[in-house]
Amino acid sequence: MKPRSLTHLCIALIAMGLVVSAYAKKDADGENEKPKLKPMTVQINDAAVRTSPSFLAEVASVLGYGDKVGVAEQGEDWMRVEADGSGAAGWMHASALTKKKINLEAGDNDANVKASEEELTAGGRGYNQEIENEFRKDNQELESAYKQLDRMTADQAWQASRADVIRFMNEGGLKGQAGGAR
Amino acid sequence: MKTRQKTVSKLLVAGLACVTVLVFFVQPGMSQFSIGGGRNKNGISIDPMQAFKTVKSATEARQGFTYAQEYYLGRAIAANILTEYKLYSDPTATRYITLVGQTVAAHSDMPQTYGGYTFFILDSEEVNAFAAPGGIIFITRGMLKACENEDQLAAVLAHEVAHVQRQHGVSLIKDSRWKKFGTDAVFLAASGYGGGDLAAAVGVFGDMVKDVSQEIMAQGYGKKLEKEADADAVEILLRVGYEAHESVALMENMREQFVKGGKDFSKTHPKPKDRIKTINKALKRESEAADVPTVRVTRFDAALAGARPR
Repeated sequence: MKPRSLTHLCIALIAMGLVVSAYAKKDADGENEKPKLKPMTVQINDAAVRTSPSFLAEVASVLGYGDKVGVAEQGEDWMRVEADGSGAAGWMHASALTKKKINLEAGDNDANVKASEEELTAGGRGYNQEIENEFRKDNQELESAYKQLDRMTADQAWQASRADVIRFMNEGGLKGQAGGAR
Repeated sequence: MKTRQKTVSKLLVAGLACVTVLVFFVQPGMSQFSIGGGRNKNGISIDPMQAFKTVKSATEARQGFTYAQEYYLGRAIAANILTEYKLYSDPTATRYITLVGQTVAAHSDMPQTYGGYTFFILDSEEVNAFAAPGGIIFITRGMLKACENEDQLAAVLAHEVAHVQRQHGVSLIKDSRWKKFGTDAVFLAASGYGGGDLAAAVGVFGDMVKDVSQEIMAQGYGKKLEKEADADAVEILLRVGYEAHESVALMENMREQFVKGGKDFSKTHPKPKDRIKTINKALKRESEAADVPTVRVTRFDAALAGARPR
């Protein structure tokens, strides 16, 4: 190889290296500028976002199954979060959140292409409802019990709001531990 | 010329260094790019770089079980319980056990579940209580009678909430079911991505329902899990402010009724003597037992007057 072409090769390599380093640096800087909140997904229905880390604290907003949040502060049992989209902020109990991504709607093949193992493990609501429907068809003897369950669950007597629980505790001389659930 | 060659070598080294940097930076990201694509035997397109395993081990499959799936499992188990037992739907009694139950659940390690906690009374003189996965909890009229005050009722409900928060129900599912759940066809059908074999998934679901329903009604959770639930229950009661020592008083009452090989709780739970040991261990750091405040005896009596068989 002639020295001249060697020089050209080296210059080309250096140029490439610089471009890549600059790109990598830009990438790193981009992440540094705005500290990324740790992403998590709501894994229960009607998950309360509270004004302080206590189950008895006021509910600031309610998130649904599959909603995404960023974790700003992580305690042992409570996490301070910001909801993606709505921006609702407050405290959620750790048991309501998962690192898994949850797919809500079945049958979208585009989604399958990017589906990682983690995502696939988290089941969508639609399909589980479908499995229950099929199961009920196959087990007619359970049908009246299922209907009873639905009726009772919808009944107000079976529900207790946060205010109801607080009043009940106060009347019964139950102080509760500061912070509610541990 | 010699100098030039030196410069060239230096440049070459620098260039190689940059290439190394390039490789270093780019490689970790490569796995993010999908190269090509594929379809599995169900016709679902998958990314070969991130393809899930076709058959999961029982443990892997179990880890993939979601709270949403547990909720539907719990409903089916609750439906099974409701075909074995009649519901007792007195509104005053139900409202009261709901308030005690929700207070206890709010102070557990899982204050909210996918579908929320619900508490039902079963019209049976059997002394028993059940927890279906996901938070559907049952207590018999016989058990309500065995309790003397709100704090003892809270102890029973806290024990059931403990089974829920530790997902003890799910742990009763046999490995053979998890292996089936972990197969490609079933896992896809249950995952919500479409595809898979719905009928096979429904079959596995039915088997899981059978496993858990039969166990909790006939055998209980077994000594180890019952012990865990007893210890957790004490912790929950202390957080609320209930007299956790009342758990021991309740056990003493039950001890008198305990018949070896008998029906109900004596069949599904460890001996009261052993349970008292567990509870006392959990209570160790606590001060002396105190009387339950009158209000928690009177409101218990008033609300459950009709529900507790004479």
